Amino acid sequence: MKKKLLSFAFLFLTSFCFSQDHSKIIDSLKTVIFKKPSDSIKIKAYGDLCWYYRTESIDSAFKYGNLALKLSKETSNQVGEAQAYNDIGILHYNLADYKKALKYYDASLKIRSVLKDTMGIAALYSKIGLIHQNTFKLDSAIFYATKALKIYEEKNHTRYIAYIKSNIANIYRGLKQYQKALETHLEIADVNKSINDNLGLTRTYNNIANAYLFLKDTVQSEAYYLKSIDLALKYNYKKELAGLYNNYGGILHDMKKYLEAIDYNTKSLKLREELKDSYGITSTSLHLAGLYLDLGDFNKARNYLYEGLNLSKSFNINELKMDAYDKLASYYAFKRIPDSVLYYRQLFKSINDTIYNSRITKEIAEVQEKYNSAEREKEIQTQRAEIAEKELKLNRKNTQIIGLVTLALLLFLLGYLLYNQQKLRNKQLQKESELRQALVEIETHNKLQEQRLRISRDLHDNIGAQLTFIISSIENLQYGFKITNNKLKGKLTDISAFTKETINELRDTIWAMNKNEITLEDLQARISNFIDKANISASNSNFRFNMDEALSKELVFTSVRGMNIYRIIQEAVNNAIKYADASNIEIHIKKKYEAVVFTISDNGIGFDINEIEAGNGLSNMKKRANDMDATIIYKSQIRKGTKIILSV
Amino acid sequence: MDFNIFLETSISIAIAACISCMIKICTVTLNMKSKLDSDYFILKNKLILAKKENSILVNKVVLCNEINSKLLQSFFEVVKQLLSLQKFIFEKGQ
Repeated sequence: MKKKLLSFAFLFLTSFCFSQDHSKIIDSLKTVIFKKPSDSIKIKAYGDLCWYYRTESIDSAFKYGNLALKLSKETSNQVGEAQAYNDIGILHYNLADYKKALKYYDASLKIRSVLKDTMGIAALYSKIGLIHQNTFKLDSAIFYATKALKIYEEKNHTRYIAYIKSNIANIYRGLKQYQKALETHLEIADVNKSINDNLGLTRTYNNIANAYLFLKDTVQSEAYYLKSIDLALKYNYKKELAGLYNNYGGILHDMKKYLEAIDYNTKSLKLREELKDSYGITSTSLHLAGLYLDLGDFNKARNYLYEGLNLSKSFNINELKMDAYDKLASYYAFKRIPDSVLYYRQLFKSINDTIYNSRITKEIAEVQEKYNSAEREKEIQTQRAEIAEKELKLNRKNTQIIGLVTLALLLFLLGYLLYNQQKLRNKQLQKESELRQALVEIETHNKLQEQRLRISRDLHDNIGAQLTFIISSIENLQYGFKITNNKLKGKLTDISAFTKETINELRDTIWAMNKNEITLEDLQARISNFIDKANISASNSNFRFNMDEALSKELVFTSVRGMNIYRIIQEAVNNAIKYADASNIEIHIKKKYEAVVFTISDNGIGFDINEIEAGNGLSNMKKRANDMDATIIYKSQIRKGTKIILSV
Repeated sequence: MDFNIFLETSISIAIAACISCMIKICTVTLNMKSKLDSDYFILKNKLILAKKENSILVNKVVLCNEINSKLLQSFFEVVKQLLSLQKFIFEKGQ
């Protein structure tokens, strides 16, 4: 809260500081600092103290300027730091120490460039331009003034535009383009009036007066000097007033109004002493010395001459030193002391040579520097070009290497694809060849089997035909002749029955052979057929044949398997008829889990499974079951019948 | 002609040729694979059918062999019985 109040107080103070006396402002600023405000306010207060002390005490101004700089650096306050460099630069400028002033301005410019403080940058350009103007580097002066003007024009800042234009007009004056300088100053005067810039107008009138003076129009010059003096007196512009008195004194001197000139120059000296304007004091002292020389008051002239010489020596202002030596030579000429005249003439000449030489050296150095810079620039450009060329070559080489690597990779990939294609082709062809070979082998085997079957069929046909012929012949014998011999009759009947049985077996096999596969339905029909025949031959026995409806009639067996099942059933039924003396024979087909179960049961005499010798019938059934990986179980008890279970 | 330009042009052409070759090879490989697969499939089907046929034929041959042995045996038995009958008739006739 306290800090806020302080800030407000400070702002209030700075707002009205222009209208107050410098010593009062300085006291108020010190009070602000005494109340220990925030660092930023302190920096601002130090800066302002530096500014207001500028005309009061240059040492104090330096002290507060350096304090502002130190605190800004400590608190990393870049705005404050730039302002402090700027303020200290101004102090050095006032002391005509242009080298140091430039150094501080540069430091400030760097920071303001980083901060992008365009107005601050423009102000610095303007000040740097002034330094160059004072050191007669008019090209640099116009360069910086133009830069500042550009910024102010962008910001449309009329007051500063007028100020910079005034500087530029002064440069024209330095280039002896007095008319142009005059016209510009007259334009600026109108601008100053339009914006009520009294300080600017005071300076502009002074400049107009100077321009008229150079154009040898002393009347106009005097008029403008007086106008300017009136304004400076009215608004208490001490610095400007000191300069004006000095300049106006110069005109009066030229007009040989020595006493009036001395009066104005004395006023100027007093003011300059008050302002501690070293350059001005020296210049005015030498001016007064000249006036007193012309008046013939040699003592006063001598005093002012030595005062001016000492000051010019202490501040090392060569131009003023030269003026002092020139006037001293005149003084000693009036005094008729030729050695001293010669001495001061030599000193004058020496400094004149030094200045001339230093200017020439400087110019040579500048030219050399420019040449070196150009050379360096050229060399840098050449090196840059070389580097760029090398980079280009390198890039090109890299591109070529990448291209070659890509090509190599692509070729490798291409090779791999070709290899892969061939490998795939070979693999497929090999597989195909294996398949073809297997197919050829199977087809050959099939042809062989077909050949065998054909031969077998021929054999069956032949034997079947012969057996049929035998049966037919025997039956013809039996019916054609009345055979009375029972033994013969029996033999004929046995042969006929055996042959018929053989033919039946053959037919059964041919039935199976004619089918690629045997369905359960086929098997059922065949078994029914067999039972019908058995029923005829064994009329005492009852046959029952049934099949579970759950069984699919589409169930398929291979011909061998079907034939084996049929033979087992046939064998079992034959055994029941022939040996068991059974009155009931049952054939049942059902499904049990995944298997098909054929059960042939009878109520015959049965047998003891442990005692009976397995004849051809039982062992045949067993063999057939084994051949087709089926299980066959015999269940029989004496006088309780027999049950044969075949699981397929 | 600048060697670099010649080299770069050659590389570019070679890369383009390689890429087009690769595309061609891939296309040919795919076509070949589908054709070979189709041939293989046809052959395999033929083989399956042949095997099936073979299995049927084997079954038939098994049945044939079984009946042949029995049939010949029975045939010779009939012949034997007929010879026995012939002998009986001849003895009775004398």
